[in-house]
Amino acid sequence: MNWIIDQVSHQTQNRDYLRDLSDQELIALTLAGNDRSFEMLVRRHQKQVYNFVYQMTRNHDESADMTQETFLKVYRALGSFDREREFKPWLLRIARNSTLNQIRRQKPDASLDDGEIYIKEPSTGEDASRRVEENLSRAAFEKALSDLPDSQRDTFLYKYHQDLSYQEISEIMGISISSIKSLLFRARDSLRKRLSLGESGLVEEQE
Amino acid sequence: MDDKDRDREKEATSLCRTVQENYESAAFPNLENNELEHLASCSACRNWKEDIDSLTEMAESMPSFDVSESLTQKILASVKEEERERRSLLQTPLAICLLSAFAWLLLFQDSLESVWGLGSWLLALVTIAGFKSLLVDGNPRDNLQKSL
Ligand SMILES: [Zn+2]
Repeated sequence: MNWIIDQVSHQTQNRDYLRDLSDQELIALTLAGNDRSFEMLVRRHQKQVYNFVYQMTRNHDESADMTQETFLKVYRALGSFDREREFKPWLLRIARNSTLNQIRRQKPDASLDDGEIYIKEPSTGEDASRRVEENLSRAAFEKALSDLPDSQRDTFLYKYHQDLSYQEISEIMGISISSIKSLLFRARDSLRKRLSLGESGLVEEQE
Repeated sequence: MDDKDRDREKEATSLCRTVQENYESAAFPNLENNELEHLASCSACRNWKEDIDSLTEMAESMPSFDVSESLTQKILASVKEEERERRSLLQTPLAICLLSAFAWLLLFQDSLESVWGLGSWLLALVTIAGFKSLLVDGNPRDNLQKSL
């Protein structure tokens, strides 16, 4: 990694140059004292962390706090990060554990608001959702999702909303890939039933 | 899951299972030819696929939020604060060491009758000061940061 440090010192704080570096290289630079590399890591991953946390809290203020806490914990623990591994699952695992702890600390009846402090417009196009809403009501979908056991809901959203791989989800949640598949299977099955889908699906076909 | 469900699940053909498992873990074109044929002919698998596609699309189209610059700045500020605290934690014990060594020297100066005694105290002070500069000023992280 020393060559990267040497190179960066010649690049005189070039943000574009940092942008091309891998997470692992940015971590090495951060540990060598380059603040800008950690800033690049934050900018690269903050949106995913924020939305990842938002799926669990459904609250923008809490998601902002948890995102901040996550990066602070990551910064503190950076020295212990094994740079042979992928950074994202490690980061999201810290985000998940912090958020779960926070949720446990709160009262079960804590209200879930939609604070607007840190939000910008949703970045998803309108077209896709309009098309889907012809078949399914979003409200019904979200209700069905929220009725799922937490682990099923989280796994489903990690896979289909966050677009994480089985391997990544397995590292984030600390359970095996076969358990992830099983959680996903149960999540989808419950959702299909709750949304009155699958009336002639695999199970029903055999009648 | 009740007994009826369990029986029904048992009866499900293994090909249905294979097709469904492969469909959810791989992209559509990765299905084998016989699996594609099965998907085309089996209404259960077709319905299952439509359901999964709808659910997937629904999940994908859930809103995703951008992070504001103010939050980014808040995160970066908290990290900087952390770094500052870490450094002051490192400096505090050293400062205490230096001060107590100096106080000790002042208080017990009378009992240090020989030049050698005073000299050894001064030597200790210089050593501590040397360690301090090694730990604080000589930190390679700082030097690198200055060079960037
Ligand atoms: Zn089938």
